[in-house]
Amino acid sequence: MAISSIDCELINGLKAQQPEALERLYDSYGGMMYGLAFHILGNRQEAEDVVQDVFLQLWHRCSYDPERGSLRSFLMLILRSRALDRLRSHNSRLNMAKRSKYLTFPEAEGQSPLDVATSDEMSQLVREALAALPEKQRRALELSYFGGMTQQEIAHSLQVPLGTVKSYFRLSFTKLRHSLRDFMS
Amino acid sequence: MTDSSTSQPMDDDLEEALAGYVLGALSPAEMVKVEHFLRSNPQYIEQIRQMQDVMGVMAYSTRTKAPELLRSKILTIPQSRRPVQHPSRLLPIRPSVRLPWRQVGGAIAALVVLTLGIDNVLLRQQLAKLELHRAETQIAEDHVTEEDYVFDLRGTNSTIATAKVIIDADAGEVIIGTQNLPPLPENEAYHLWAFTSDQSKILCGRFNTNSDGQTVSHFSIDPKVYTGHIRLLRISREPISNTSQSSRRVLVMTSES
Repeated sequence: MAISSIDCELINGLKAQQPEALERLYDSYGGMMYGLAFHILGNRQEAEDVVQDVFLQLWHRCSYDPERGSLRSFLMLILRSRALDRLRSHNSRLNMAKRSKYLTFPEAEGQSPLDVATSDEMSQLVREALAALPEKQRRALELSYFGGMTQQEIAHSLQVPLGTVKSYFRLSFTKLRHSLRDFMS
Repeated sequence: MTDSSTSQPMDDDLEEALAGYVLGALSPAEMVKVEHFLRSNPQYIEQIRQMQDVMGVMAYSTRTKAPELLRSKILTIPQSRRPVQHPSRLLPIRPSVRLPWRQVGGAIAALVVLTLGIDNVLLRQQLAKLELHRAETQIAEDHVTEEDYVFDLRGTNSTIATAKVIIDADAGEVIIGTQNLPPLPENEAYHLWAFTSDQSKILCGRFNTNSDGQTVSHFSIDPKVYTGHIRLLRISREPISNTSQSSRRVLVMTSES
């Protein structure tokens, strides 16, 4: 797995405890991390806490290994895992089910009243790629990605067989990998 | 579909399993199955990475702009002290209030996921077991003497090993996550010892680590034995057969400063 020279520089700087590396890391990925955390948790303070937590860990113990994937994937995996853990810690399954209707990918066009658009080209293309998925495939992905729901829970929520949810995931990844190939590392 | 890493057509069932695995949407049993599969077929790890990459890009779909204040807070981190890894830091978590295990699991998950990559499935499996265990033992929920502790342990002799231990003494449960702790041969094990305020020294459990120096282990302990507050924890390397020979006991980690 190739690592970009910029990411390599960032990580080396972080491991050398250079504050400017932390600043650059935040400027590169912090906004996206916050956006994901907020979308999962639906609460600004909680989202801030999770992002801070991840950066704190990175500063004190940066364990990123380029052999295991891109820096972006690494950061998003940690962030999503933390945010979902936090979500589960104070949300019963009932609450999760109630909340599931809000777990949606932002639309390709227009803005949510609460949000401020990050209208760069990549974001727009990602939203378009997600919007191009068949509705139920996208829905299954949303419930898992933002809600941390299992396949079984999603099957129940969408009232489709478990095998159908599995195929939704497979097809979604295949399509997204193709449509977003220019952004893959 | 053709798998770019193996140049082999990929079975739909397998691809579905890998997609569910990457999303963390499988059942614990399925997670373990995929985990075993990946260990036997490491060429598919590249497939996992590609799917993780898709997930990373998906985060760009979100619209919310981070508050300016967050940036300022992040930039003060270099001036902050280590809040998590401080040696010997004993944190009785709100005495008489039960620590939610999902939250505890989250803390360890965060600890482990930083380095584990795909191995965090093992953690999920452990947590799933814990959840089940908790569901089966809910009767002690209102016990007034319950105590929960979180300890951070660091390696002795300047080693880089770290561990986090969560103890619910009242419920008799211990969970430990480690990093950078070398695996031991079969005839030895790491021993987790608790030292209490009434001068007792209690063996919480034994464990070993994987080839990456990591583990997430769960022990059941007898709450009656813990008559005093837990002051500190130590981990020693010892032969499995005879723990009474202190001469063969090597202290490797401690929560002491």
